[in-house]
Amino acid sequence: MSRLQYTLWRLIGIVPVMVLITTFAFFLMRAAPGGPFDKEKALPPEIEKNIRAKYHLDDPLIVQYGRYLFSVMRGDLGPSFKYPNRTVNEIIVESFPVSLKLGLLAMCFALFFGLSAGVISALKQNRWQDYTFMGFALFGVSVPNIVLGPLLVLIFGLWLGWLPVAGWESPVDAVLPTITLGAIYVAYISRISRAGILEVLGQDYVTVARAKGLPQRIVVFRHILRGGLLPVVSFLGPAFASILTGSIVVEKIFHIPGLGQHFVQAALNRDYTLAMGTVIFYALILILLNLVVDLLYTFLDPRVRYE
Amino acid sequence: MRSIQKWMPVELVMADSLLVVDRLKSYIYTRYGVVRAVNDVSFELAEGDTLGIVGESGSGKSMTCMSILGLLPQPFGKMVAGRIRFRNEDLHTQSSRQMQQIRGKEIGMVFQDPMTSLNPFLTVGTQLTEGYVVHQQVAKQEAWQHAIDMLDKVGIPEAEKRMLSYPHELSGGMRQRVMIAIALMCSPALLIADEPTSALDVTIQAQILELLKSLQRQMKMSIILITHDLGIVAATCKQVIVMYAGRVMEAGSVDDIFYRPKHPYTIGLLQSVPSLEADREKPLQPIDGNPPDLMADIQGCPFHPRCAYGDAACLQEFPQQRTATTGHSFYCCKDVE
Amino acid sequence: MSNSSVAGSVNATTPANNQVGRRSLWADAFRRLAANRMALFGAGFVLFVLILAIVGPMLSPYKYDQIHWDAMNAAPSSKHLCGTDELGRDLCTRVFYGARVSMAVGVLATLVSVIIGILWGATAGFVGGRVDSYMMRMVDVLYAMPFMFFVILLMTVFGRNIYNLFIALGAVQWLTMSRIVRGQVLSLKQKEFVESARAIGLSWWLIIARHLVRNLLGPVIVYATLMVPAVMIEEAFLSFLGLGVQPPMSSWGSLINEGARTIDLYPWHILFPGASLSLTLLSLNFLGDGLRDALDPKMDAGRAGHG
Repeated sequence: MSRLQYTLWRLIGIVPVMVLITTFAFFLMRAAPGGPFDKEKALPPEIEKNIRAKYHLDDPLIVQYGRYLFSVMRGDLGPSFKYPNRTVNEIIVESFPVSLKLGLLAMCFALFFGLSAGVISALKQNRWQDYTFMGFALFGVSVPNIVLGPLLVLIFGLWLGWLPVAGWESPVDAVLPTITLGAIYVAYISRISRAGILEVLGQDYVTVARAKGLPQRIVVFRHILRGGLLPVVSFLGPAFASILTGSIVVEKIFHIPGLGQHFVQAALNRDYTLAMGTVIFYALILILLNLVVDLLYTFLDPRVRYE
Repeated sequence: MRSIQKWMPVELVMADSLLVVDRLKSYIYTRYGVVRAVNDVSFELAEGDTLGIVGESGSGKSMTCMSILGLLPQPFGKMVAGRIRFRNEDLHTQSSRQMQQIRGKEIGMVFQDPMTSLNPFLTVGTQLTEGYVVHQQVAKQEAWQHAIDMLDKVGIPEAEKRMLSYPHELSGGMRQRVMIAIALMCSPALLIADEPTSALDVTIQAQILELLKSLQRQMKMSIILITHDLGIVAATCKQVIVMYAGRVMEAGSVDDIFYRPKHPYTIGLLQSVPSLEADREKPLQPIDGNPPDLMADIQGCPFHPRCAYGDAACLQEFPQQRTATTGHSFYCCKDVE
Repeated sequence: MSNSSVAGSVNATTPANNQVGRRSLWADAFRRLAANRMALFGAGFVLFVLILAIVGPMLSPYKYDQIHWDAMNAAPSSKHLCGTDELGRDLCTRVFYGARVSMAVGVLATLVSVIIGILWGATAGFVGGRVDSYMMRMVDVLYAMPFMFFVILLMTVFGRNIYNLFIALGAVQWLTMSRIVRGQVLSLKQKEFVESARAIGLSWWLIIARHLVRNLLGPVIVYATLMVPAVMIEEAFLSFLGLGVQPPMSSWGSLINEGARTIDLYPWHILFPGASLSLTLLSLNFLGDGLRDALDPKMDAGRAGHG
């Protein structure tokens, strides 16, 4: 199978997965006790009837399902239950770029510092650089963002007054959220890259490269990093998923108007369509990102076979 | 060359040799203690000659060669004593930049396992040319052409096509040929081959050895062949040293070692090898026991616990060098025939 | 095994197929663990927290939901060691009580996921063939899913009680475990002693099962120890969003959430639960890393070397 065929095959494979996810989300939401219009005060029957008709809630379940599936496949996630005048698509288009920007910033932050620390630690194994970075990394994976965020707010926002504690207008607003979201991945990536490089350092082919009389620079960049950093590439897929998740709490801590905030509100308010729509949308994003990561892997490792 | 050795004073022979290793000690510092991997090893190699280093695994053969290349495992390995002279220059006093100039260019190395010695992420062509580009300071195209010639020389068909292959697309024998081509790219004066055939099928082994021999004639190289296979030594080497537990037990010409062995360990090794000529009724005699733990402080002769001739005298100190004939020395205080 | 819980690489440890080998393997591992001061500290601290979680609420003179209108937001003092919260509830008692919830969720959800992971991985490995490839393909797909989003949906739909939390978190953590188990089964299937046992008519199934238990114990213990902190972070995450444990019950996550809201006025509200959570996570990571090093002697870099 060529790379192109493989890509096409994977793209086709997305369809059944998305159908499954949509189906799962739909029936899960329908299994929920209590509907979106259950309020403390019952609505007048006339109005409720109109609303139910408008959202086709009186059709048989299977018809509702078919209609929803069809519209999702067309890219239409339907109207929001809680914001009657807006569609789910509109809300996503408006708020996802905010979450995306935050996520990308955190990822870049994590990759830059994680890779630097990991590479240096591995090349200086068992020396002070290694102990320092790995010590920090161990603390990094142990301080969850819900603790780190408020801590940073307290120190740099409230006590020192250096950085804004909330909002999303000027670039400086992004500093604390980026660190809060990215810190744990700095730790993970540094540990993974260190382990990967140490593994490669023990390989015969690195000794061969040195025996060829290559300068240290070429040995490191051409022979060690290539293989040593592959595990980091495999980590990127799960990391994307986890960053989107982490983005929810970071958006909450710093009052950032991203999709994560909308999702939590939707879940708390039983806004079925928005909650489902967000999950389906995020699932699609992650599947595509994973496809990109897998393709990247095939470029980096010639031994990979396409299945 | 060997005939010169017979009558020249020792100092002059040393000046003439390509490589002189003099009382080399290399230790590995592990978390659990110090491994005396190479302990007082001396030998010399004349231009165009082939030296075999024989011994069980863990006897310090590979570490001796890694010391020559300055590639002891870092940060644990260290050369603690002795001298290594290559072309009348002390290698251990060279800067790391100067060592880079010698590695790959003056001294080539072929490793034991061709499956793990090639970088799986790079094409054969890249791995062949990268050293040549650095050492000869030539353009990539020129190196590429030279690499194709070299692949031809080591007997790889469709060399041009193979340049673009990745290691996993080649068989074990092919990979070892590539490894040899890599080591020979810069026409080194010395080739160190560390068990170049032990990971290969027997039929391929013979091909690779023949290849090494013919390339040696063409390129006038000296070779150090590390092996535990006495048959290979007999077929390829002029000089042999037998190592055990980091020390040289016996050194001499192939004929000396095979027909007039003096050290009980050498004799044991020879008796444990099956051969066609030997009396079939006579059973093979393995050497009982295991090599000693090199982290322990070994008193006297390290072979003593396994030696049939060993007695209390062997525990006193490591035996003095004794000379059987010119160029044939051994380290044993007993007279064994 | 230097993969630091990254997707993919799972390697087989050597089978200890005689009693002596096995016993010394475990004795060796125990010695290595005992020599690791960080791991011992971790184990000690986790034990300490477990004891406090059990007896702490009993020893405290206050109940976790006991409101003191006369002592709202009191600073730490001899009367209230960690101060009180907005409703004058003793924070120390609430942190102890939160330890119960957090530890229980961590351990039970881990148990749930270990069971699912073993069943899934063992089934795939034993049955093999097409079933295996479908089951593992599903794991691959699930790896790319935004799990916490599904957990949030599950919590919304089935109610935010603590039992749903166990199941929801357990249900999403089993993927790596299933890969480890499958890898072990597959490698055992190819082992010669299994073949030979089969040849002399012993039950193939039984042999594998017995060796499987032996070989899996190490990896499962290590992985489960490292999974507990991951699950605890997720519980804290959900509770922080208000989707986990509901008031007046407390978990460390919900206490951190309350503390984050009043961080500018009463920093101790977040200090104690935040520190408890971070220190416990750190200890569990120390312990997990220590166990991994102890059970995987391949990590000994110092012994590497050529003949």
